[in-house]
Amino acid sequence: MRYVFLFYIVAFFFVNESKQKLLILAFHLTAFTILIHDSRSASVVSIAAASLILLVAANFAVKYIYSTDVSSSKEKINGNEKLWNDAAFLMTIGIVTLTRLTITRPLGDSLALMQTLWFAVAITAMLAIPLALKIVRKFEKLTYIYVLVSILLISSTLLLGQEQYGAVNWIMIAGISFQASEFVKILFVFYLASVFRKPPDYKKIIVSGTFTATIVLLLVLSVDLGGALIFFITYMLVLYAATGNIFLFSAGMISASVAAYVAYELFPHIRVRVNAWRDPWRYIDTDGYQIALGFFSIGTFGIFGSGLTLGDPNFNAVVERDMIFVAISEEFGSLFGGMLILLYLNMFYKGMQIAMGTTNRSHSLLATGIVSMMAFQTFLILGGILTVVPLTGVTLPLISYGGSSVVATIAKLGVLQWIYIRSQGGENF
Amino acid sequence: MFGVILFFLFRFVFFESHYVISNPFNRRIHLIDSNIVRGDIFDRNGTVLATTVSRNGINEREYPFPTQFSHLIGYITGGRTGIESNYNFSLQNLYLEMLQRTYQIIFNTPLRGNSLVLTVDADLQLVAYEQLAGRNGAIVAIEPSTGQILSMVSFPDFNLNTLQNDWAQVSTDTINSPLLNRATQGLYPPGSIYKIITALAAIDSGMGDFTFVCTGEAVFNDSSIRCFNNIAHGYLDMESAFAHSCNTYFAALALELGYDRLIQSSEEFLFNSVLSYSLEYNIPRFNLTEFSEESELIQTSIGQGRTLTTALHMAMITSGIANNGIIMTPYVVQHELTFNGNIRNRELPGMLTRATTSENAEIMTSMMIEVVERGTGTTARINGVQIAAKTGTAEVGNAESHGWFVAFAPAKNPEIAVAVVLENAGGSVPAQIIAREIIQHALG
Repeated sequence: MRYVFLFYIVAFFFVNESKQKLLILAFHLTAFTILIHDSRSASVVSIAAASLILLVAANFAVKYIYSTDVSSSKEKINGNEKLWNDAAFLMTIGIVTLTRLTITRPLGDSLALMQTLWFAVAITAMLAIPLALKIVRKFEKLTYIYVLVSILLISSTLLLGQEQYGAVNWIMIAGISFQASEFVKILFVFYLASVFRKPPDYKKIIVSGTFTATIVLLLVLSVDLGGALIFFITYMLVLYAATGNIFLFSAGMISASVAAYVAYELFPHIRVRVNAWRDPWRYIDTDGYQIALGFFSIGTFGIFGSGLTLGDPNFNAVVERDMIFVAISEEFGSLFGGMLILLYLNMFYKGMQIAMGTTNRSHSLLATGIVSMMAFQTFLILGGILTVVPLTGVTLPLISYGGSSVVATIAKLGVLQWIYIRSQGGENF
Repeated sequence: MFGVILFFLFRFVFFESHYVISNPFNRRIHLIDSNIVRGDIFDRNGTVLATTVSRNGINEREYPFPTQFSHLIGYITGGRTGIESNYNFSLQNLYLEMLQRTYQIIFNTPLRGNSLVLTVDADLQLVAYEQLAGRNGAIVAIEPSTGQILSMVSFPDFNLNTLQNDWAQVSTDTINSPLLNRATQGLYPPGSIYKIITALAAIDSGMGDFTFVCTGEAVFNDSSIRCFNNIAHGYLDMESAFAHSCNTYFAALALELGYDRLIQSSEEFLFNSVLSYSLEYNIPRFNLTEFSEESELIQTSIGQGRTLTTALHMAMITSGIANNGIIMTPYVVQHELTFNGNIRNRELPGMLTRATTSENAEIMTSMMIEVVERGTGTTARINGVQIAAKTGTAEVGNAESHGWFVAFAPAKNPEIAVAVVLENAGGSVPAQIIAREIIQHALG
């Protein structure tokens, strides 16, 4: 049975858009059949139904909303379907995995259901983006507003925020925890696209650099090291795209290394992460525990995995969020895990194609920023799990549990779609 | 960037994961998959020690030798120990998994895990077991040149076939402690066999020509030492003192030698060290420091004091002497045997440590030969075979002393090293008899 899931994901890369949708559907149905059979639980049936409805409805909605007339010809285009399919597949894999991890929980407690609802909210919001961008016509000129709102949000986190998983990143609003940095990330890429919309002079670079550095510092202080890194690297990448200046990029990287070293000396929590990264086995009963457990998950059942529900993926720390990749590798197989990584790569590649396919400079930078951010975040968490880099608590986009992350990621994809459609001649979109 | 990720994943999955997943922290290794037929366990000659049989449609584990290999084979129900536990994963590992699963779907053949071939010799084990004859204690026999464990016996023991039913009783029997593997986990004071280390420490420090006149009893500051039965050994050089196991000689020697050299020698022979044995064992203890009292130094030099060792450890030390000073890593599983007869994961002999130089080992060997020729170990003599050995009687408070005997044979080109400990035997002679019979069988 485990070979069937492998078949779905491998075939996904080779077929056209409509067949891809069928594969996603097949994946969903196969997986939930197994989960329902194993759990005999009504809540799992509900989740299966809800996510199925979501999948199908979202598909039609996306097709409808993104369908526009191309002004230069009589054709219609439907948005970047392959990009959407990638996202939909990831979303489905995520919901299936979350269901599996919380399979014994009652419906009210089920993360999978919450995630499905968040996706529903996110996709609805995403579909509203074209409208929003239409209204705020000259959004690329709103530089200062972005800065202001960002600083407001981050400061409010520092002041009002509550600590979870060792980082102060969450604010509670009406009983739902809400990760402000996710939204600042979106504002940030809009800011960068805006400030660099014309080739920048040194003044602009210094100002934007200082702003970025401030955010990074604030995040480091609230122990969101992953977040800080993501902002920094995104800035560097967009800066390079905007200026083509390799010296600036190298200088930035070098100063980052220096800063990292200083941080290592100053902050004990960084030393802990570095120790665990270098030799998780030596510190297996303390700092390295989470990483070691992750390796057990990935390695124990080989490349074909244990089979859905036959492994022990809950024997991991934070498995619904940071470590979710190892749970997938454990039950679907590490080969499937490798294919999953390729799926992300595919999505980012499509994103870069969109960035390079538009002649509008600020759109191009916007797309670059979005893709860089998502790609680097994915790299950060996968790299942390596999000890390529020290572990940071960031989410695996679209798969890890987290409402803010889901909404933000889907929103980013929505912006990419909008840029794409615009670039393909849909000026009235 | 992502290429790096994929590379790391690939590297882990294909190269590193095998070592990593057997880590005891990985609770998955204790999972039992009832769809898989557990592999068998064989001795080095193919004798079946554990197998799975189907009774009334259910797979059950059966042990042709219910008690002779109990601690070694171990169990996973009730508790977890031994080969059944530590190699649980290998025994359920499906070689050519896809093929086996396909055959199962088409032909309904069972899924078979890998079998294990041990280093242990069943015939030798049965001889050892019979020799122990229901007395409390342990026997460990090792092949010195490779570190392969040829035999490991511990008594009291338990019945592997009825363990689940007996569990409540055996697990609470604190008088006999049948579940304790006395060969690897039973910590006993070494008594006079420790003099091997004291002597080597002296030889290594150039004191091999130390002489002493033994009058049966000696007083050093405020501690007094007696020889066995107060025998006065007279004028002694090291060879004679060793052969007759003279306590006063070694006490005097230790005082001359000093704390540091004795501590160093003990650590070279793996006291307080990891023994790199893949099943459960206790680390032998040596607590002497340079701040200890002089009386403790003296007691330690003759193997009393707070020093504790195990039969496995002493067998390893003996093997080290037999093997020109090199102690090989002990191991008990030779390789895995797949369902279709392929050999996998062959364990190769490896050097654990060089405990002493080969010159010193040679000197020690000739001293140990004298023990059997004219010393305290003459009971172990075998016609036509030169045996090197050391006897030991370890005092234990108010009870009868434990009897120790360690030996290897043939003294030149050794094939087997044995360590025998008999609880409360009163002397080493019963242990000598056991060792003699084992060696006779192994070489015969």
